[in-house]
Amino acid sequence: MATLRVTLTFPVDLVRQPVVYTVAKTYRLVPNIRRARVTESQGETTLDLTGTEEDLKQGIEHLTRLGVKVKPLGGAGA
Amino acid sequence: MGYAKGLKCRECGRPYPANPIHVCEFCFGPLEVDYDYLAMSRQVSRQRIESGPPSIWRYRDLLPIEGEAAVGRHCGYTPLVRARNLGKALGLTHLYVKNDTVSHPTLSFKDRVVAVAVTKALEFGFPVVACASTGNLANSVAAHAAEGGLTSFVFIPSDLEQGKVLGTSIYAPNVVAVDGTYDEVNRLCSEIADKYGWAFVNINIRPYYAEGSKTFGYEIAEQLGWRAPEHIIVPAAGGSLITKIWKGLQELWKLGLLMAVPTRMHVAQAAGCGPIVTAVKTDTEVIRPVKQPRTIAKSLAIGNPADGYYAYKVVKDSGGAGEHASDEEIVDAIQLLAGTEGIFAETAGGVTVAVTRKLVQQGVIGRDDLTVISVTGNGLKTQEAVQGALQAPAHIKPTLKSFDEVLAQRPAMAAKA
Repeated sequence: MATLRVTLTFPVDLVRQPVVYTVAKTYRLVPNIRRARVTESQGETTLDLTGTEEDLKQGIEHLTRLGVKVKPLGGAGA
Repeated sequence: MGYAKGLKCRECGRPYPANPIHVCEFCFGPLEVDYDYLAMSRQVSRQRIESGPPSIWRYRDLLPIEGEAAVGRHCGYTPLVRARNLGKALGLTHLYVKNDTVSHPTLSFKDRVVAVAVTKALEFGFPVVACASTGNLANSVAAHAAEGGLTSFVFIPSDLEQGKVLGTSIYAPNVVAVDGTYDEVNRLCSEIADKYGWAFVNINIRPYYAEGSKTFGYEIAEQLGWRAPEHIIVPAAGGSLITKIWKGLQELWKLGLLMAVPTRMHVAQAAGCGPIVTAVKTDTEVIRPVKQPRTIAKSLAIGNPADGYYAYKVVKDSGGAGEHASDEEIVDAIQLLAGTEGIFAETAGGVTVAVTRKLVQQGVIGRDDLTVISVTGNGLKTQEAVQGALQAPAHIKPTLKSFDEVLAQRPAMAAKA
């Protein structure tokens, strides 16, 4: 099992859909939400996702396909 | 001995020891250095700072290092230029340019953060320093690692400007060009940092690294005679610089070194990658990432800025504004700055000058307001950006007649003579 810490940014059309639940259920991932910011036009959730390497990979790919921006924690500057 | 007590979560305030960590284990918020300001205020004074070396290390008491500077001893304390000619062109009477095009050793403000980060990495005992970079950071990490005798790894997007790649390779680091955007490079580096346990200056050393940017703000205030300006225009990539300049000014005020901080912080980004400016203009605190950044200002091309929300907050809290600059406006502004002040800035400098012009036109910045433009990198690094826009040299035979002819053909040349 592996754990990935990520921030998900949702476009406006996905804000009202249970995206995290659906992906977690489909790919057998355990989400643990630590922080969230939701406005009427978009949403941002910081969480960890635990699952097998393969399930994590597929889950992230699924989120990206839906239009969710997936960003690992950390990293600044340029 | 320094005054850093440890680290603290920026979101929930939970304290942590001063270790090479960057994320709160509870809320996943970013960690930042927490200081003992009371003890610091007993030691720090204007006189003590003024008697220090002409570098960022004159502010050593306000930086998170325990011993002496290990690298970058000549970094910082760059000129604050009274920009009369540029001011005239933009319609400003009290304009200054903070000129980090001449920052030592790699000609960008990144030397400030890296000098602190590499010194800290040496204090922690890391044998390898690394970074993900769009160029300027790579140059600086490679140079400071060489100076500190450390092995270095530099990860860059493979489409970077040639000048920046060469400016890194010369210091003999291990350069890895990744086929992907900066965000993808960064994602890879998070995984590498976890696996290999290296000191990634902008990942696990980031809380210390970011503190180096405060010196940009300290210097502006000190060089203005211990006064905070009314406006500072700051370019943003990840968004850290603007938050740290603001933090630096607030610290000087907290320590009694400034009477007040009336500064409005303005954020400048390129039109092809300006998520923070978009958030400011649309007044939404959730930053909408830019999937495919498209701008000649590659040093600002971070589509998903790590400190975007905090940069947004600083702009809003200080009563500032934000504007985008198109590629054409960036090139034009680079030429304007060079042609009026003799300062050749990289594309990010063009962004700040172009945005300043817009903010003046919009009435956000008043004609007589004390204004500082942040110019953070040298134009020699991004020559491709302006190459096609410059007039070719006049070609003549070695005769006076030939010269007279060309002078007659080019009225602009004659006007300058």
